[in-house]
Amino acid sequence: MPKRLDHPDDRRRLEAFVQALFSSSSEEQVRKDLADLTVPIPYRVRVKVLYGRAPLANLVAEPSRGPERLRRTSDAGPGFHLSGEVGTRHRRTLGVHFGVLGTEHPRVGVVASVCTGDQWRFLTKWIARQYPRLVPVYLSQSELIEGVKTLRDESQAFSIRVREITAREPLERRGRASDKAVREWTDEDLQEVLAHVMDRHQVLTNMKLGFHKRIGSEVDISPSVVAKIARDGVVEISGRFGLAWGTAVQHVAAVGAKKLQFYSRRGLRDRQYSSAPLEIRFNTPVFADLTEVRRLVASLTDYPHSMHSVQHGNPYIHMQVADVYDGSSFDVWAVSDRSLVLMPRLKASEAAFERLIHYVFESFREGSVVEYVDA
Amino acid sequence: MNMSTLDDRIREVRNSSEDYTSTVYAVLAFGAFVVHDGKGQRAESGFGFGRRMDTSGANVVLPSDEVTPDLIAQKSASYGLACEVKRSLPSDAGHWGDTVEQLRKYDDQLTGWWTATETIAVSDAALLVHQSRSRAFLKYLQEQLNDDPELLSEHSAVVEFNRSDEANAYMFFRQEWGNIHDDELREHLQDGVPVPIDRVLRSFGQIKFYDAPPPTPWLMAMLWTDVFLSSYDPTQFDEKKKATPIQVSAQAVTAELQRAYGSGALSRDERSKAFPRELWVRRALDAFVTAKLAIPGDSPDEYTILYKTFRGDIMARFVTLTEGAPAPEGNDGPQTSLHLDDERHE
Repeated sequence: MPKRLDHPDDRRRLEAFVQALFSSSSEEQVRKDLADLTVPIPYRVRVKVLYGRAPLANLVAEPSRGPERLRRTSDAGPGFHLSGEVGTRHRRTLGVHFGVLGTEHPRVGVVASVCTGDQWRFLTKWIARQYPRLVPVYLSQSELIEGVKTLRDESQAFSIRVREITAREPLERRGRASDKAVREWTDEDLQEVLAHVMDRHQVLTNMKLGFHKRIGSEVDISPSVVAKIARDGVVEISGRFGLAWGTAVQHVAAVGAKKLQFYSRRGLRDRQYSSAPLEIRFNTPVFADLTEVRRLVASLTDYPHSMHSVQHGNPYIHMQVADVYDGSSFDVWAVSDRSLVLMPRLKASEAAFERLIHYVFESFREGSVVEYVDA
Repeated sequence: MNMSTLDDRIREVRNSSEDYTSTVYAVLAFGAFVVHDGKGQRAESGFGFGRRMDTSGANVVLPSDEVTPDLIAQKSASYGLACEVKRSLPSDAGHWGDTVEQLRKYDDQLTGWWTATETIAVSDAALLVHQSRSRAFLKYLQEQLNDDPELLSEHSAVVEFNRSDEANAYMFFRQEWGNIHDDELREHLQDGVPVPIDRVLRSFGQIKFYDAPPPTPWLMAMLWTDVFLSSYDPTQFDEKKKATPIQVSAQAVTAELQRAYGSGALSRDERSKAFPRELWVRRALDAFVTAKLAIPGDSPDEYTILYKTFRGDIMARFVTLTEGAPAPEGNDGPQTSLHLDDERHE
């Protein structure tokens, strides 16, 4: 276990080294250096998977929204430094070094950093403000679970064990539905954890996986790498970076690339004015319950950074929802009891589709997204 | 205007917008019912909104002229329906004669069908009337027929429609009076036929207009959250105007709406009418001027929209901002009403 790094001088030295690491002239060198790096607590290697319509490093370098200062730390390398003030009562200056790395998918890349939790939150808040230039990749619960299953099936040289889950669990208190956050430590096989999650109707937020080297039928008791995969596209890595990069990170990137490609070019102007709607299909007839209809309408009227108009809100739903960030706009219909239709209007970017669908999943419930076609 | 009056106006506009959208889906659903056999589109079938049809010299109301029924639905090369749709009727029954006259205009050997000669062997004229008014209208019609049994021919029918208020929403159509001269359609319509709105959306989900003016606040909300928003660039914010200027032309906006949501999104030929019309768009743009959200340009076609984003329900916002201006024009048109009687609401 690496020693804990508390002394300010030690931290400065580490951060100077991190700056040098991200200032390497090639992404490949950065990945190699990250693979060799032993990261002391409270630092972690964290990556956030992002989507953009141009090479991610170029998008990051564009003038950004917000008061923070961003600069490139080398002319040719993928390194950046972000600094600014944080805190409300006790203002202090914070800075974080990060690199922008490409993946196998042209429009999907990652922001990677070796930083503390505070620095990471500072960085991810800044990233959130750069939407829709930088589009976060979100994983649905099913994408997270399917992804972990795929990793298990494809990583024959490793046994994957679930070390920890964070989830929301439904709770009924004095007749009012709410939920509570739960964090559970396990050392279980994936199937056992999933059965537990299903039993308790939990909604996963993240899963921490241990990759244990397997030789024949024997399995190492210590993990080669521990990767925490969160639904907001963040992977936190302890141990062998290269292994996590080739598995968990590439998997999240692949899911993001596939999904955003599926959502792209659906606005009427993009398609010679021919419609290409999507449908969120639910497993149960959710809209047979009028309380659920009202709950969704109320939730959509609170959709951040949007304008809306409720055409009909009971017993079926017809709303206009417009994304103020990038001018995308949708008609939202629920005219059958287990389906929500998202009908793109003149402009409907893949980023806006991703944001709206993620919002419905988070604030209402999760379903599967499919083409809404003439049956 | 006090709050309760304003709330009433917002509710009125919301209802009239719902009426308009419902009517669009009723027309689409009935058209789909005629041209689809449950598996696919029938051979030599078609439907069109506001299609220009020529009347014969024998037309009892408008001989050798042109009519534009709300819906022309052709089931086959030998049978079709010319329909007028009434989601609402004037509260004064004295004006219902106009509706009967429209039905009489369509009760004719019309020319303009999708056949080689543009004529069709058998056709009926049908009035699609909302269930909330159908009984009252039929009573009125019967009184007229008692006075003049020849008022309508045997090729006329009244079909009531209603939207189901259920989670699996559908349009329900039932023949209430007259004759439908196609055995298959008649059999269904006499029992009543539900057409799921989901099916209509799947095929025609982008259609938002038919050949009648929509309530202006509804059109304003659509322009604001779709057409103008898609051109909105916050970096162009004008400090003096406290808004982001967007240059638009009524003609260009109309052309795009037609292509995306109106006549351009349905199959067209030289008999098809173009909708929405520029006049309706211009009214909405003028309403933005009234609300101080637009400035007229140098030419009558041009406007500068003073764009800003709003919280809350956009349509309600525009009703609030335009109060004091004339009521939305949809209320005086022949086909929709903004001033609804309480009894009209189910």
